[in-house]
Amino acid sequence: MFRHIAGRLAWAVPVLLGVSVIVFGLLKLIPGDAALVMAGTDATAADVQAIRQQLGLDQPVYVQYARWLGRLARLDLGRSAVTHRPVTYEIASRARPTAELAAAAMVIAVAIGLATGLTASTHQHTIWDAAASLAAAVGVSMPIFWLGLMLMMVFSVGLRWLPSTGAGTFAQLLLPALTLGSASTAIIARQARSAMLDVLQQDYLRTARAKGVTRWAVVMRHAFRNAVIPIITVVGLQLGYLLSGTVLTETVFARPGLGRLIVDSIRSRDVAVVQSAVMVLSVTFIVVNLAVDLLYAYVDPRIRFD
Amino acid sequence: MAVAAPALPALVSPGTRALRQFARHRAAVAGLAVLVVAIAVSAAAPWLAPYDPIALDVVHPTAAPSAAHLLGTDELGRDILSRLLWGGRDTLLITVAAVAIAFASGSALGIVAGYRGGTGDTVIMRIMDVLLAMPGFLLAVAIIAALGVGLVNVIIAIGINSIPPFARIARGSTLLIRQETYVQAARALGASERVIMARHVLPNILSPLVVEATLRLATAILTASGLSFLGLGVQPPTAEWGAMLSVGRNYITSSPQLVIIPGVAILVVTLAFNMVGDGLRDALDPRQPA
Repeated sequence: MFRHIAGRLAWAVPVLLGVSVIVFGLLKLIPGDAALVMAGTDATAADVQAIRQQLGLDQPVYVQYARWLGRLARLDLGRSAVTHRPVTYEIASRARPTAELAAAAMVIAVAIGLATGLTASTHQHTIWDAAASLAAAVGVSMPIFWLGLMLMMVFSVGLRWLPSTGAGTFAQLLLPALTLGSASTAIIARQARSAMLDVLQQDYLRTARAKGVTRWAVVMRHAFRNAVIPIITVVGLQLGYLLSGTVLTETVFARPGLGRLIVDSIRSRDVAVVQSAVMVLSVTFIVVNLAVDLLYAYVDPRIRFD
Repeated sequence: MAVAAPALPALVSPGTRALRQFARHRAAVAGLAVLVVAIAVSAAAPWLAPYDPIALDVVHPTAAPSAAHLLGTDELGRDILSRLLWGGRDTLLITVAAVAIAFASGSALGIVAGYRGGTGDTVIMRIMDVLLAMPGFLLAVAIIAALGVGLVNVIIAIGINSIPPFARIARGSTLLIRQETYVQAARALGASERVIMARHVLPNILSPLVVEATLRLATAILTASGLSFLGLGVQPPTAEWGAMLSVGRNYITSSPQLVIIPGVAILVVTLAFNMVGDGLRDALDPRQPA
């Protein structure tokens, strides 16, 4: 078990470094000069040169990368070229709405997805199963930004039940979380259904039914516990999707989160903010994947002792 | 008394069997029909579209559907049906081109990695791991941030973003197949590595790659329209489905059709790609009984 954990942790380090190279390298390609953006329109050439030196932009690229990495490790991410506030502040103040959104979407996806998948698997060849399959097919094919607009049209504009924008209250979280969680709900439902169908055919389940175990106990205790591993894998994979989906969802619902920050900063060419925000979301993704891997080993002893 | 010979099962080629299997999958056939129609009408947009997709008619903005404008007009009086047809061209072009790039380069990388092994294998696959370690859509957004907006850059962004799964599948299948007798035989006969990889390995690992490509098309169309929706893809006034949605959302209370119509188009085509992909997977899976 210890070796497994150590191996996974050791593997995460080069991956993180690789991601940092990609993020740094990509944003280095951005046309235009960060110093020019920062200096503003009425700056002299000397001002721009001073800022360039201050930012270290006159250094070779690998020196800039090493410095950036060093500052990243110390969470000193520089200042936004647009607002002139520290990037750390910009990100910290936007992290909460994004974390809430992704977490709420995950809760919705797991709850509805599991309920749907389990129902479909225990009612195979019925109208319920067919309806669930159709809903799942539509769910994975729906552009989430469009679903968001449709929900907004019905529940905010039409019925006036829920607010369409902002963040902070539960009511403001509901529509964005439903929107973001829709595709994951469908994928989890599909996986839960097929994993359960595999398990439900096993001999030990026939034995359990034969000895008179109640239907609920057969499904939940005997079948579901054995189907849970492939389901966990899929749930873990959804996290990356949910994190990057916040970019679209926050734009639709005008939520002041990290995703929205990235899009706005790309438009205003605020490189420091884009770099840091993309890095934060990627690191979160890697760390959570690591946690899922370890959870996996905890749930399935076969992996631990491999 | 003559004994009737037992009826032998008719021998069919794997291709015919796969085709039959696919034809039995009703949803997949329906999806394929939708795709054929979508591609045909998009390709024929210059002849089919009743109006110029970017011609303004400021006298009739946001008109309801009528005989003159079957789907109505948008905020600048442009014919929505014409924009939908022209938009399909860009949307489908981006999607197909991006997946083609990923299919070609991902498969090549994966086959080389799997066939040669060694340091090259390690380097290629570790780069793929790093690309996969970034949330997919976010990577596309970061690439657009670097390259700038526009149709070609969207193709590049989605193309790069889609390489890793192809490389992984190609490598895994190549590892299995390189031990096969026919590969060993080709090697013994003195075929060059390149010939073996192109003529013997690639054709035999094509099925899983084709299935992945079809399902990837569905993801790619959502990514492409998502980028345009964020203003990071195809730019107005060009008619692209995501871009149409992006503008239409400003008129969500007054003219909901500006949002509903392009969204339905994206949904239908994505659903069709997914259904065809699922059908192909079932048809090409050798574990399935014929």
